[in-house]
Amino acid sequence: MKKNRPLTLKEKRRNLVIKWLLYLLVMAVSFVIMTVSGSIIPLFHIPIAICFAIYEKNELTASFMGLLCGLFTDAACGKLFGFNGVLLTVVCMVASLLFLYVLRHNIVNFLIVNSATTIILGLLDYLFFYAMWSTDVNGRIFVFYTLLPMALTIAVSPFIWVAFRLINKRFGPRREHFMAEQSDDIVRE
Amino acid sequence: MRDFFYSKKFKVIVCVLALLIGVTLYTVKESSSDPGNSVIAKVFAPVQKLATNIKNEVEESLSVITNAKQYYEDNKQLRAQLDELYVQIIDYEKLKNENEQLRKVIGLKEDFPDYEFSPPCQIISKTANDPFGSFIIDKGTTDGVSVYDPVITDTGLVGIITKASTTYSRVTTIFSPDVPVGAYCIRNDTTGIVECDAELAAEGVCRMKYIEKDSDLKKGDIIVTSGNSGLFPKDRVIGIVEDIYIEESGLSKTAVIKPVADIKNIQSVFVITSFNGQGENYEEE
Repeated sequence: MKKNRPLTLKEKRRNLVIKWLLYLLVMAVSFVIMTVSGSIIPLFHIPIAICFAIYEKNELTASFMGLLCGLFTDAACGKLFGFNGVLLTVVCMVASLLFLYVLRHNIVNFLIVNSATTIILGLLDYLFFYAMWSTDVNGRIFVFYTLLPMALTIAVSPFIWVAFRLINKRFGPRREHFMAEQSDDIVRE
Repeated sequence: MRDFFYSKKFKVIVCVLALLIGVTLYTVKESSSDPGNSVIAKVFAPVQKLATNIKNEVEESLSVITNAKQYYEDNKQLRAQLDELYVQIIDYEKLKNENEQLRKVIGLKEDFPDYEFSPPCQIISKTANDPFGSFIIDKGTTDGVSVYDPVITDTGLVGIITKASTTYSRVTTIFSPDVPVGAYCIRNDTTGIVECDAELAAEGVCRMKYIEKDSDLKKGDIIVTSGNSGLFPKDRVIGIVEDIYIEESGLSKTAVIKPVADIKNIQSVFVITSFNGQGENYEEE
């Protein structure tokens, strides 16, 4: 019974702070892993950005977190500052609108949106950083440094979904059901 | 959903996007500085340094267990090589003494007295998903490092500084096609250009192109920098010739060069901040 009681304002605030600290921890740890490994590695911040679009039911928050995730990706991958930032801001805004008005919050829809985003960002990255400069003569970069990170990103995305789900389940806003009496004429025995 | 596009939220997002695009365009224009990424790099540099150290320790510890058999074989091989080296050391000591006497006689200065070095630089992070192995070092403009300074190890050439912030710098290695190096063979003065592509970079080798067809470049020859471009000092060792073949056109030869510096596994480097002839034949775009 105690478990289902509505949260006090203090508890709600505490949960909100813990939730955002955990979000930032996930982003920071992902960034450090990406920059320390020195090998082919998933772009963790793409599924993280999509998770923000799903779980933070607000287009503005989703867009800002998309922007932050994009800038982290730029810094980790040594890309032009703002390249992924601009793209993920737009993607997160659209994803947030989709999940608010059109799509249901489930892992299948998350995987579809995440995969589409990963593929679009990966192909644009390849186009602007390698194909345009004719760097990739024999397609090696496309296979190993575009397709492989895309596949790895899609592969790790369910784990990030689960992490966000757990964070939100424990520290996110709870559904509170209220039963209002409509009439004062109800006679209680 | 339509209301959203008329809301304040949408206007804020558009404004932020416009600002970000502006910063991005500024970064494109000022290609040598990267104000945006440098903020993120600065904030995370201490954490990355710590994480890199932990990773190196863990890798070393795991390597002892997983590669025990390999180490045993290597050990046997190395002992055999060591015996050979003892013989070579005796010859080397003789040559060294002879060389020192010659130096005194001719009055040659010490090798490369014109170099000025940065303090030793530690690699704090590696660029994710970069086919050419670029990385970030913990020294920047405050330590005298600037863009286009050459980066070396005690064994050989590593690359060049392509971005320099106050406390960190990005190093683009000689595996990048953006860093062609004028080079020559120390034995017979055969000249060429050392460059690389993604396929060779994956194998950890470069190629020396535009070698004259009649040159007698051999396997095992040492290739050093020519210093013609003004980007690299003269006579820094790049690598050893591993293979030579004639180009499809039949007009020139190409040699496969194995860099002497273990670029993929290095943990610290030096930056040459000044040398004679720096920037002489180089015009910044």
